[in-house]
Amino acid sequence: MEYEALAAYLNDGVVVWRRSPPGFDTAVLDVWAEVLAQFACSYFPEEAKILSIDGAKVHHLPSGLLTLLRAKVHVVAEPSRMSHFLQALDNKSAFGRYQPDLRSRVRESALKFRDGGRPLNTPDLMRCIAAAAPDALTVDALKMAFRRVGMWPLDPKVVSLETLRKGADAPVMGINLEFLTQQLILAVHKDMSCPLIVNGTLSTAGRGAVLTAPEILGALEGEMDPKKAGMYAKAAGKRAREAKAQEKQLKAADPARAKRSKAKVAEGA
Amino acid sequence: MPSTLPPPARPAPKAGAPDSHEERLAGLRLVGPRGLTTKAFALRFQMSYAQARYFILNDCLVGRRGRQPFLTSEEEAVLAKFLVLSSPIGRGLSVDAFCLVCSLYLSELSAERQVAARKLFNGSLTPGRSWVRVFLGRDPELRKYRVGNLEEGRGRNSRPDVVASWYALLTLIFRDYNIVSPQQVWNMDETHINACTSALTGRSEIFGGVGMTKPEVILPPSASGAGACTAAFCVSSAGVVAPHFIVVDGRVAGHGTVAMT
Repeated sequence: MEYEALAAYLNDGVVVWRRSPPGFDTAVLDVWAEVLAQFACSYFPEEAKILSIDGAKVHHLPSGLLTLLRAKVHVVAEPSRMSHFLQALDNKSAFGRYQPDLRSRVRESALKFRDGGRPLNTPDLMRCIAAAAPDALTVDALKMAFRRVGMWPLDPKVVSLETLRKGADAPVMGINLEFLTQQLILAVHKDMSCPLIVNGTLSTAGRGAVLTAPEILGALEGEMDPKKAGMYAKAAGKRAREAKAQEKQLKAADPARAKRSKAKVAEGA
Repeated sequence: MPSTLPPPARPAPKAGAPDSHEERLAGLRLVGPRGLTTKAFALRFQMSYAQARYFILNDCLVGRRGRQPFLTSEEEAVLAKFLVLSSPIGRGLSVDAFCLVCSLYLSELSAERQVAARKLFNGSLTPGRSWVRVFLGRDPELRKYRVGNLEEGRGRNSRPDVVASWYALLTLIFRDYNIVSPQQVWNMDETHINACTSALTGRSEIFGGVGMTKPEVILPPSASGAGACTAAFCVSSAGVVAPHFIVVDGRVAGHGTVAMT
């Protein structure tokens, strides 16, 4: 039987990784960071880059962040639960185009395979992604997505007051975000090197964080230590249980062996 | 979609009749003890006697006058204002929720008005959907919207100071790391796709004969590995997309491969 790489169904340089369930964990993030660092080193290698990501805890992995930092990629975490209007990819010009396109392609493929009597398999899904991504994430669409969230060019005015009113107890009126941003620069400068640790983890509630800043990396590594200790304790417990079970098996095997040898002796007599 | 009621339809004039409303209004001035009788008015404007009588007696109203609203115009104005203020802060009311608010208000009214309300609303203090429809029709400032959902946490965090501090942080980083061109600004996010859900929730059109009441198509099953996948995209503000990173389902972690038979 021959095996074919799933990445072959997509464009050059794409990595397809297997994991169950199919999502990100720390191990997968490490691989992703290596892939991205490799790309960053080949794309304007002399220039520093800023990478904004959402505040998901799985992104707070020191080893992955260090890999990116070595490739001159500085990672910034957005304030938690605000990616719906601060993140370029979450914008209607990016995933807002990609997701419906992919859904319709998956459905079309499914209807096509119905008559052939075969199920939709993983290579078909890869083909759908390979077709939908370049169609949706075009140069113009991505530029527009960054402009819509005010990330490039940097412009706080793009956030409408209507967006800020949601969840407020009273209507938000007469706020000049540009002016407020200028006023907050000093306070943010003081805070940006102070990691906020809540319940033993780095918190990005209500504030962004430069994850690759030395202080925050240090805090994340410190956060990892108790976790590692827990993992080691778990592994040690598992090993002890296995050893005990093996000992028990050996103990149970001894009388049986003696019985068998006795029976052999009796047969010989 | 606006849900305002259409204005009452004006009856179609008969052929050869002076059909404008203004002409009828002008004709109304002639009606009186020494002028036109109702019958003559009906003949002149080619209306039925009942229509002419209704027109003369009800201040030139063409359609049938509805029942008098239960709430006063001041009460209705307050309710409308409540709806207008609630919606922009993420607390917009659906039809049923609005009926409940009205019932709470009615339960605070005097016993006589409550009795009247029960009489009007079929023995209950909660108005029905048709009452809401008529209420919306009376106020041109109100309309119905299809609504999206926003998680409570997302709504709560959308504060001006948080947004401003994010842009302040970006300003500082751009300065510190000398970010001067769009190819230096990147964003990464993951998106998950479930093949089965995508195929089921998507809509497409099919051809069929007239009179199909339930057009449906059968979808094939999806293979276990094709059930779902997560794709991580990393894009720059110059429009460049880094190589995608896709995670598919599989028991053995590592590079994804498929067996070719």
